[in-house]
Amino acid sequence: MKSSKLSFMSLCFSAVVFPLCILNANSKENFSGQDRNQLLKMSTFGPTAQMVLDLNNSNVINEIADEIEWLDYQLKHPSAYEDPDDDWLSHFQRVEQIATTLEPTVDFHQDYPNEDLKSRADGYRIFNRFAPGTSSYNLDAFQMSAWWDNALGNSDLNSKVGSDQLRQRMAYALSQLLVVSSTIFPLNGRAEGLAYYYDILAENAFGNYETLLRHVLRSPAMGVFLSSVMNQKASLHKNTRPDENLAREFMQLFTIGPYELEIDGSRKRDSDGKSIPTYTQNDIVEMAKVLTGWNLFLFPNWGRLGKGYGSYQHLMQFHPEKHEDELDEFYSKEQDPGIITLFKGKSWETKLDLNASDEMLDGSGSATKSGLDAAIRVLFNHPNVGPFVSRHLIKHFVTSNPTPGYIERVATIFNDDGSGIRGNLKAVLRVMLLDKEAYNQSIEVGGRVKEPLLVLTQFLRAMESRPWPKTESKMLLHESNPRYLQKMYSFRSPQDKINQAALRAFDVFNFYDRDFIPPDENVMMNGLTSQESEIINDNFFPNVQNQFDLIISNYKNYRLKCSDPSNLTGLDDAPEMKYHSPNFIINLEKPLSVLIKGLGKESGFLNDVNGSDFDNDELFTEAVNDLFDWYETNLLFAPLNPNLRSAFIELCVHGFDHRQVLREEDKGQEIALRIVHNSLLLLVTSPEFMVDAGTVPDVTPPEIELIGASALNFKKGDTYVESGFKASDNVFGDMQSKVTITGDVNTSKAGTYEITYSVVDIAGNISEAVKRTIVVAEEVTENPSLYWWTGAESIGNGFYQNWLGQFMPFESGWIYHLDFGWVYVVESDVQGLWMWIQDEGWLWSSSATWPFIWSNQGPKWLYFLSTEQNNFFFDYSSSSFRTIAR
Amino acid sequence: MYSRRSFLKTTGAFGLSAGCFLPILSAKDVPNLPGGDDYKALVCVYLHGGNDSLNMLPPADAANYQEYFDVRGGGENPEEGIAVANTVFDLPDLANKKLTSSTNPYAAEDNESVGLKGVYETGLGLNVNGVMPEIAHLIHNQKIKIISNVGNLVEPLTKEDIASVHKEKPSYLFSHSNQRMQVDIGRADLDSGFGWAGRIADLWFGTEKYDAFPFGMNFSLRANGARMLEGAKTRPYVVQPNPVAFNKMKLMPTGGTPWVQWDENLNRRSMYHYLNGASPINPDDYSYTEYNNWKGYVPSPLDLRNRIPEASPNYLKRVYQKMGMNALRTNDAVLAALGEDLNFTTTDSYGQNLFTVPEEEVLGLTYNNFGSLIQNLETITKMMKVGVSKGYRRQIFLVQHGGFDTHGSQLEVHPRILRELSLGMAHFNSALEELGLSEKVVTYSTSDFGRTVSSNGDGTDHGWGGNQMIMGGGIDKSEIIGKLPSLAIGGADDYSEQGRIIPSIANIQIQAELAHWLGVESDYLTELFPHLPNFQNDSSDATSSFVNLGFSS
Repeated sequence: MKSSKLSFMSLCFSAVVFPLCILNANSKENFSGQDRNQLLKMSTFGPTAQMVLDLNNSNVINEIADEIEWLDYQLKHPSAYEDPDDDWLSHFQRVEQIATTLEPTVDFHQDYPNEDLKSRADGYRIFNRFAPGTSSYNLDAFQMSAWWDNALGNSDLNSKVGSDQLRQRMAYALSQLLVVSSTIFPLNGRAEGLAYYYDILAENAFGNYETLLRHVLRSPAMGVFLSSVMNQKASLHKNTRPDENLAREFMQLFTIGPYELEIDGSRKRDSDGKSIPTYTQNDIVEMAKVLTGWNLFLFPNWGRLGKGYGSYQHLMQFHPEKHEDELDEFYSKEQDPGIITLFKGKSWETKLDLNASDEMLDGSGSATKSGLDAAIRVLFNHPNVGPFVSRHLIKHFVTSNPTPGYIERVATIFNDDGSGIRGNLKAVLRVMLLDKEAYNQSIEVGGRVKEPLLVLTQFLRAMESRPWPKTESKMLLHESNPRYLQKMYSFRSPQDKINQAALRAFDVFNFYDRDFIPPDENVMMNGLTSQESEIINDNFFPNVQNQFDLIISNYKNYRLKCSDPSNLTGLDDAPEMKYHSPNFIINLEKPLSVLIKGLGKESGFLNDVNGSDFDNDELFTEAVNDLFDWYETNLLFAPLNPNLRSAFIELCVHGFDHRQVLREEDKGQEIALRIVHNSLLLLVTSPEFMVDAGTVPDVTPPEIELIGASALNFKKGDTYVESGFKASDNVFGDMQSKVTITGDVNTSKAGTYEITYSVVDIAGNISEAVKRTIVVAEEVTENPSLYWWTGAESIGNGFYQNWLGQFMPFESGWIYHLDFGWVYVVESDVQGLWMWIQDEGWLWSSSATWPFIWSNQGPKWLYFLSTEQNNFFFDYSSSSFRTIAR
Repeated sequence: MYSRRSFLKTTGAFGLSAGCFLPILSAKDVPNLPGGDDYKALVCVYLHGGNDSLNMLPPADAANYQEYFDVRGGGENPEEGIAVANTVFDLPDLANKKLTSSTNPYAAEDNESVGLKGVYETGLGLNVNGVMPEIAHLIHNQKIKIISNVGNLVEPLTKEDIASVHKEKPSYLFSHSNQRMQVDIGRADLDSGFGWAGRIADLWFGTEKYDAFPFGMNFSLRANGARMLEGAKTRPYVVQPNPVAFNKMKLMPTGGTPWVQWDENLNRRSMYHYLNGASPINPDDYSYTEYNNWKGYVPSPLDLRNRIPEASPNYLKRVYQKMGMNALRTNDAVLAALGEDLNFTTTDSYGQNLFTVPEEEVLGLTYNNFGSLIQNLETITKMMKVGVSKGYRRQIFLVQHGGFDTHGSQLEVHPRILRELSLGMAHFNSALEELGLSEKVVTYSTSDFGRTVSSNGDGTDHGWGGNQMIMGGGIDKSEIIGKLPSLAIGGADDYSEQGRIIPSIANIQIQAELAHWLGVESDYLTELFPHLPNFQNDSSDATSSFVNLGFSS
């Protein structure tokens, strides 16, 4: 009994089902307005009304949808990387620019203090060598600022930064797969290395994944983050061997993952049903050898890392003398020094030369022979990479719960973009963003909880935010340092408030577990995952609401204090903002104008509205209606549930107390501001904005397929055995467990019987009924089936004993059970029994399940407990025990 | 006429939920709830990344130490070694709070030597690293048991067993995420599941005195990495040291001039409820109209009662809605709990108030990011105080202390986090003693794994068995439980050739004993930890797997 419970438990803990089927296959050709909004949401850090307008006004008349052309343009869009000398700065260049602007007297490119180090630096002066006099610990704030520039756009700088939205979105998605974070010393101080790393992701966002991996593994930030910097060959004398950190995570997190996958992302299983590991500890040990010999460019020696040495803006440099060659005494047992074996025993086992020539130059510009690119190629070509990367991208861009088919369609393009190239990220993005499944997410199980950071960027972009020009700089040590931040966003540590921020994950496993399942019955029963939900917890809610409230309040407390709030100029009397406050200034002019115009004030200006303008209830209601129309078009980019909308309007018109306004001349303005502030805050922090639900109602019923013949013959007296069936739904996938079967078969009486199968999906669509006809006759030329209790132990006097307990079988399916009394038993298909017991109705159990019993009344689970005094059922539906009458 | 259904044959969430609602097996107490009126709490200090416990508690015995030094001493390049020196320091007079930056034994010229300078003797087979005088002190005062060489196991293993296909090893050894998962779910053969402490909470959920409204039984100090506390029905409450109020939303009838703003706040709150698919508030419960009459005009409380709240049809949105309501419910309570200052008379090693984070000058150590463990333990103390005062019976806390994955820069990083661990445990113990809770609270450390005996030049890599510490619960004395393994490379306890030591005690043996101390009946322990029978001397008695930690009750 114990072992059966164990196996039952292990069933409980095994992998999750991928439940979803698609509504339509392949690429989308035509887009509705809603589809257009969906495309913009997926491809950017937040749609803007201007973007929608531009798309609508696209003049090109041809057969290709405007949306597809827009997407293709994004995929060819110019970037900061075409011309390093133009005014469109990369993340790294922007960090440099900010640092030198805010501290113009500091020489961020200082020479090394002594001649020896200086000569090794070969005349090159590294940025931010953490030399005395620099306030380098602020560089992470500048790196974050550069990130905001690229996510939001910064019109104060120029019109180009942030215009390559899809590229920047892809870089952000990649930063959650190829994770680097400021949490490892000294990356928080040498944060220019984080910016340089982000540039690698952004520059290769539409390139090739193998090229990207080559850069990532040579990058200083990754080298430090996963300690491959100064990883050196084994030494028996020093008793050291190569560091395995990067080798492991390279396989586990960046390329193939721990289990073998089918192309649709599901796990391959062996004959015992277990997952198949992709690599062994030995593979990691071998891979670690390849990753030896790399150090930061311009690092003076091979010793402790420290924070002041080496360049974080060049790829690492290779040192052949430190590279593993397996010639040290440590490898005295090694058969084939200099050759390693990866995936030994698998069909893709590969031997690699540790000194194979690399295809890429190292950070010093030299050609190298480290075997690195050869090893990368082996991993890159592993069949897992396509589904592994595709699944990650879909979960980030589209939905938490893609169907296996979706993953397969995208992975297929990863494997071959159509012209024989593997790893073409541009093609992968294109096929993913144009797949119909992205536009047909089901209302019930589709969509995803938005990442908190994307909620913020969507809001800020929709509300045209800009940095506050009078934000104090923290770098005020020297007189000639500017007092204010210069055209610079400042929100340094979003991870403290909204639980995530780019390049600030706690460790290499990113912000959340990709397969996180929130503990909720419906979610679990449908096998849904929601990675973002892992970081949404009780203190997230007040934190995020306070942040939004602060940002919205900034409009009144800062922008409106300018003499020209519309253009954000005339700041002489406007207040200063502290450096540690998020300095986003949004624009509420448009929603205010809509509200005020709705009250009959044609100018729409705040100055023109009076308190009395709000006295007419009907007009006020109309005006608020207009305001919500504006929100739908400019912020939500989707219609708001009408019930919620009307409740909001009720709140705005009747819910606020306007007596607080002290001066009559301010009353109109104050009321207008309060209406907009409160409605915006509640709306943007509501589930309507925080969660991307699907939009498509499911109207297709599920389908049932019988296993075995739909017409069967049985001999009179034999036991009827159900031969099985399958059921599936276009949205909800496997429905087998939910099928209802009705109909009688009495094999003790000759005749024709009919069994009907039907199932209902969660959306309420009922399948067409499927029937099986059973004919019971006196004679049938088939082998009689055994009685179900064959295999039970006979204990004399006609009694049997098996897992069910003690009983005596009678004819026509009845038994007398010592615990339950008279029971009518029918054998079921899954090696179990249906038992009819008076007052209990139909119960089911099997040798594997007993003493858990399924009761059709409810339905629900029961647990049978027998003690000396009494027998009990523990009833799960009521969480209580009840005695069984005998 | 009868109807039947068929069943999921293999995995399926249905099996998931059903299987995890297992009742007790003995019929006498229904349901399985610890008897009595006592309070007990368990605090898990999770050392994130795999602690190098060999440098935390280096071997004391000469022969063992030699083995250790042979591997870690750097061989012909002693300056590149990472072994802690065998220099014995006198234990500073912590009882009189006399530790200062000039009298601390571990002070060194350069940062990297701090953690290697020397040790305190304990009289046991392991010494304590010089940066942890408080731990040494606690050991001397019979307050800490050391579990030697503990790690994830499915069944006991010897070196010979490693190659055998008949013996089951934990799956995905040396992988952080898998090993961490196995620590959290209480079994070393799977890669996902519910946390064992979460399942205890599920078990006791809804019963009298468990129902620690509004928080629940389990607490995590961080949003993610709390799987140990996540059950099928229950989730841990995530608590920060400095929680924020919903005050900006103005959803509560607080602040401002009451008769002017309170109704408005309630209206906003009504809307918040409505957006989250929850029943609207009843305005009659919150009427302040007697004040309003003074001013004449009353904004009528927004009556959304006629509107039926709509749980979203989207399942993920519905989860979000529920979380939003829960956050509102718990916010007031957690602010009250954490707003209260704890005033202790006991002071720390430096003569400062308990839970003060010492400055660099005081510590004699430079650091970047120090003190979150200390702050978190203070938060835990506050939540415990609330728990006791409200009559909660059981609480389980998880605090993560980070940065132990010292592949590189081990000498810079490790001493600092060990120092904080030492201070944290000492502060916490002093606080609990002063509150009279020290026998009711067990604090224990655990980690992904130990680390390799061998070095990679700059640090150590993922190992397997490691040492852990247990404090509290009225333990009888300090001692080392379990044998000290051979540390020789390729030696009798080495998994292979890099010094990854095969554990001699399984994590689940410790976890089961802790669960039992909390009040889980021995019959149920195998449901929590299915491989426990592999470690039982007596197959019918789960408690025979225990190492006997010596709790007083």
